[in-house]
Amino acid sequence: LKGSVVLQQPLALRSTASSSSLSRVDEARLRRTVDAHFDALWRFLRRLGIPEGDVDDAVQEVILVLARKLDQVEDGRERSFVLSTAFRIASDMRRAVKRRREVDEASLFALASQAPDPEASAETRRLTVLFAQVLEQLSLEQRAVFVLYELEDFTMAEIAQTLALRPGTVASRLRRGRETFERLAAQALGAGGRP
Amino acid sequence: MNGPLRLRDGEGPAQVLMGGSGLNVPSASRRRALTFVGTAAAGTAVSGTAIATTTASLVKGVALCVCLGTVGGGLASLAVSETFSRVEARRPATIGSTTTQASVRAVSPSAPAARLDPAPPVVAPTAPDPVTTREARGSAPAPGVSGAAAPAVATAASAKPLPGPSLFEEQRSIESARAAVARGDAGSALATLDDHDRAYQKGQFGPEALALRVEALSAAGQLGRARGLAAEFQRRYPHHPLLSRVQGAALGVPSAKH
Repeated sequence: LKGSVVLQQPLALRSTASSSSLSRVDEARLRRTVDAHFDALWRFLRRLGIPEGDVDDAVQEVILVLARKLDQVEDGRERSFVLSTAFRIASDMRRAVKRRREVDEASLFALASQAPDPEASAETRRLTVLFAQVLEQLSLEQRAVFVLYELEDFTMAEIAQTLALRPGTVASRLRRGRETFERLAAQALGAGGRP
Repeated sequence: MNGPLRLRDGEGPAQVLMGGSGLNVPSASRRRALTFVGTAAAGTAVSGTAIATTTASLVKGVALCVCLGTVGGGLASLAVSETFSRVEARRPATIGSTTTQASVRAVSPSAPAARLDPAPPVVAPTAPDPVTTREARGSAPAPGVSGAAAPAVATAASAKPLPGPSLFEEQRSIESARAAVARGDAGSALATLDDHDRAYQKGQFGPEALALRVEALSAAGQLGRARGLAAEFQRRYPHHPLLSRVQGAALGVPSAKH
């Protein structure tokens, strides 16, 4: 489908590799990759709406996939592969839990357990809650692009590569995500921008 | 492909709100992940003599059943229930014989959530026990489950009993309240939740009911009561996914989606 996320053959994979072949895992490279990209992976999963209590499970799913595919991932493309896998797993988790509970997806996947730091100021705590609330209003697809661009400092080209999207799709999702975010931020904070 | 100025570098409410985007990554999660690397590598490597298989599931609230193989092919089973996080490992084995078959179920980019190609049978008379996700997280292994001297056949009791009629009814009750909140009918939502609380004092949707009550009270303008119940929610369910929604509702933030 035009504009949809296509992860059948992530761009980070070597095109000649067989996706089903098993081979000895380069554990040292696997460990380096996980160590180098763990923070981005954890934050990305949380910001895609995976509850904090489930993030470790999702991380392990990513590692399992990475372990199987690492020999097919080009050097320097590890981050893209890790985050593209995380996106797909987050999508799967959302669908699985939604089916299981048969209740509102947004309710289940609120960023709610992003509990504000109790030591933070009241304003910071309020901003943290508001940010989570507003981010929840973005669709998963918009949220992924928004988070990678605004919070992880990906370029639009890197996002297109990571999520296997056309550049135009990245641009439109980012634009719509930003519009929603800005509109809700203004509603929540007022024109002055103060909570 | 140049992008627009990032919101945090701009001005206005969006720039201010980006100040709430901070997210601390727990160091314990990093440690667990790095510990799991060895498990993942072991579970994926093919040595020519053994395949260890490990499957980590994402579904909460099911059981792990570990069956211990005994000499002569008999099996003794030990069921270990867990409240959270299912871990499955399956490795049918014939004790003292020549074959071990393994299959891996995991997700992969090329086949989301699909079973991978079955691995061919291999000779593995002394194959190591699979290391489960839970074990990799530091939990104590089940009593009696140990190394190669006691080859383990672990299977997951993944079958979950179907919910009974009362659970469906309770869920319908919650859905009714949720729909009332969504259409802005706080009075109807509160009445439904009152009925719900009376009917399901030990129900399965307690957090959802309380969260909806906070939202309904907030919508009705009863912010004082909403905040009180939000505090109770935080005390009773400090890690619940609905917590930020509840806190937002208590602060008067409208919930755009239901």
